[in-house]
Amino acid sequence: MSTVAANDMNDFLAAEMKHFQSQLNGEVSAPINCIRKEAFDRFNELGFPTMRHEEWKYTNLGQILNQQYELARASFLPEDFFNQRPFADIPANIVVFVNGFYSTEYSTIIDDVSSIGIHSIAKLRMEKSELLTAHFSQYAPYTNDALTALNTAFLLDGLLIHVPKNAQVKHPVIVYHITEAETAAPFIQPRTILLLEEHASVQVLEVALSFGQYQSFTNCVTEVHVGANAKLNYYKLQHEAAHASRVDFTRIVQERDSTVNTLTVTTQGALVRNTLQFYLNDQNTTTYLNGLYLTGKDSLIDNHTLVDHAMPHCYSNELYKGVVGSNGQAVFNGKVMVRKDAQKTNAYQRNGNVLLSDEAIVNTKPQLEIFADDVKCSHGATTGQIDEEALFYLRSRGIGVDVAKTLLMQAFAAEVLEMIDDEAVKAGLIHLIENRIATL
Amino acid sequence: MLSIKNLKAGIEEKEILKGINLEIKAGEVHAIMGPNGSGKSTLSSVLAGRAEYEVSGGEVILNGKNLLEMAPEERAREGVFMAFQYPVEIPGVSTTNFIKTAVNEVRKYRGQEALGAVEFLNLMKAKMKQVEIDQTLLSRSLNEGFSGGEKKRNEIFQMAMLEPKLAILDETDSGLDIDALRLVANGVNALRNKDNATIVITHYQRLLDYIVPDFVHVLYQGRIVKSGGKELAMELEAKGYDWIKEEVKEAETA
Ligand SMILES: Nc1ncnc2c1ncn2[C@@H]1O[C@H](COP(=O)(O)OP(=O)(O)OP(=O)(O)O)[C@@H](O)[C@H]1O
Ligand SMILES: [Mg+2]
Repeated sequence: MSTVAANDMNDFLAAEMKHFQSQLNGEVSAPINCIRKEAFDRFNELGFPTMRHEEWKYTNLGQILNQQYELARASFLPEDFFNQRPFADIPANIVVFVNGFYSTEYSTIIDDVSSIGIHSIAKLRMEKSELLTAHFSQYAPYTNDALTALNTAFLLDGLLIHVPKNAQVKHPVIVYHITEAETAAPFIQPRTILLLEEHASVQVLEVALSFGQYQSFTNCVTEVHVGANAKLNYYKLQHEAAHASRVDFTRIVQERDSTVNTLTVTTQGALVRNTLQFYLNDQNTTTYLNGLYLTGKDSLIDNHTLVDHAMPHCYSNELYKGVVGSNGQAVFNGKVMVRKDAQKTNAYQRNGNVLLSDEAIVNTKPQLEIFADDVKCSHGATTGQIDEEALFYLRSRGIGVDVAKTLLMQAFAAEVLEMIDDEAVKAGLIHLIENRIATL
Repeated sequence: MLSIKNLKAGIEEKEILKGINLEIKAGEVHAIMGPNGSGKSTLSSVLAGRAEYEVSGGEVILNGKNLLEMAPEERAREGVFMAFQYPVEIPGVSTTNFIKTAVNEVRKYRGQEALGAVEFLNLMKAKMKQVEIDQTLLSRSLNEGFSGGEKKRNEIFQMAMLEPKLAILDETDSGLDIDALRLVANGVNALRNKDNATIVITHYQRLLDYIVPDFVHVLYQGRIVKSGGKELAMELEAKGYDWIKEEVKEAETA
């Protein structure tokens, strides 16, 4: 496999694309491949975003693009590492990807296939699946997003979850995305497609983990369609090594009367950029967007969210919080768009940050764009230091300064996790976050 | 037990405590009274280790140890407890979890084993009864939305849990109804023994009917200008502070 040199990431990708296409055999003329090729052209037109790009003003991708990578291939996963994963004791449908490739060895589905279809995209491609062809690249358009275009162009493997009409999936689906960076620095591009038909419900928890000393770069795209009256709980835990980087683009389309609760927790990473977009395609939808970022030394965590209210009577509520220590940088940009027809919209947004050091930086920007007149919307952003009065109060009772700070930060972060109704998942997350906060 | 010698402290350029001298023996209760702004809360904050205040002179020795060199948490572990005039609200930190952490940190410092869940619960129940605090308060976030009286009661509860050697009550009686006042006093009296001491800061003689002090001091303009027995408090109640201020003026001009 070839390796990327600093400045010619684009040349590298062009060569890889050629190579990739030459190996597709029968799939070359498949509809999916037409999308791939168009997406690659679009990627070349757009180019990687630079800091001149309004949406990338504070986040310099150059740092990670300048490194050398190998295009990820199927890799190995040590059993010890897998056994020590978070949420290991929760009864769940387990889906495991290593460097973007589905692992049959580690994945176990416990719910009945009549209530949920969990598929490897690579397998669906082989089977020339209608389902894949019908939904691939339907909900996450690549026209204005170079990285989504790039992911689309290199579609190889990934996850497609299909919950049929009226199915209530009994157990959560826990998807482990594991980065193996022990043998080389991988460039990984997974794709996830979540499809919920009418009145379906499921809880999906994605957990990104990594091992190995090399840097890694994951460019993942998730597209979600939530049918009428369906309910999706979709939680992401980004818990890779401090030298791992990740760009995540997720777009969720909601139909009438549907409910989606999302939670994005980032515990560390060299550069993590999350773009989370909601398109509310019909009336009476409910959307919660919660996020928590713990940004430590040499880390940049960027969350860009968009809630696009296109139809009336929809509700959205967003709460993102961050604890930023050392020389960490956090970016929050939350856009709420209320279009002309979206009367009776209720849209709320809040972002709160605590800076633990003088070097820590937060750039927060709420953006409300309202074109309807009969709506209730609010937003607010705060950035502050740890409350000295509270800290003194705790210390004056004998609690050491570090423990006291940790208690205060845990309390600050806990509000974001309150919305999780699965107690086991919540407890697991709290445990992990508490430990991480203690190290910030 | 506690020896304060010529203690001077202030904030930025402003000197607030201008040479405090106070000797407290184990088993004693000292009341500190004085007009608003005379430095009573500053004194208790300096003893508890609030970093805002800069100590510019003097010394404070607690049981042979230099208190001023210690971080606030060390002082607490050495047995200093200040009941805040204005207890802080801390959303998201459960009162019970907070107290458990505090108790166990103090125990660890003293070389005792951490209390297990059951032992802690039993201790809490006993102390709750002693200070008549409601269980529901303790399951809430620390002081969040507590009424003024509930906050003060929570301070006394914490004191009961931590069993300090030196308790400093900064106007714990203000804002309390008569029943709560009696409870706070009972709490303090229950903890009184020959090994610990209490400083009671108050504006009202009334509290001193319940917590009978061995000494009463008047703090004025950053100095202790008068000391006496419990009858001094009665005199202050009857006559106010003007006569003391006069005395200070005369002494200055003399
Ligand atoms: N953090 C601070 N910043 C500025 N000035 C302060 C600060 N703390 C205390 N002071 C000043 O020091 C003086 C003493 O204040 P302190 O709170 O100690 O008085 P007190 O005797 O407790 O009064 P009270 O009876 O009203 O509670 C006052 O003039 C006060 O304004
Ligand atoms: Mg005061």
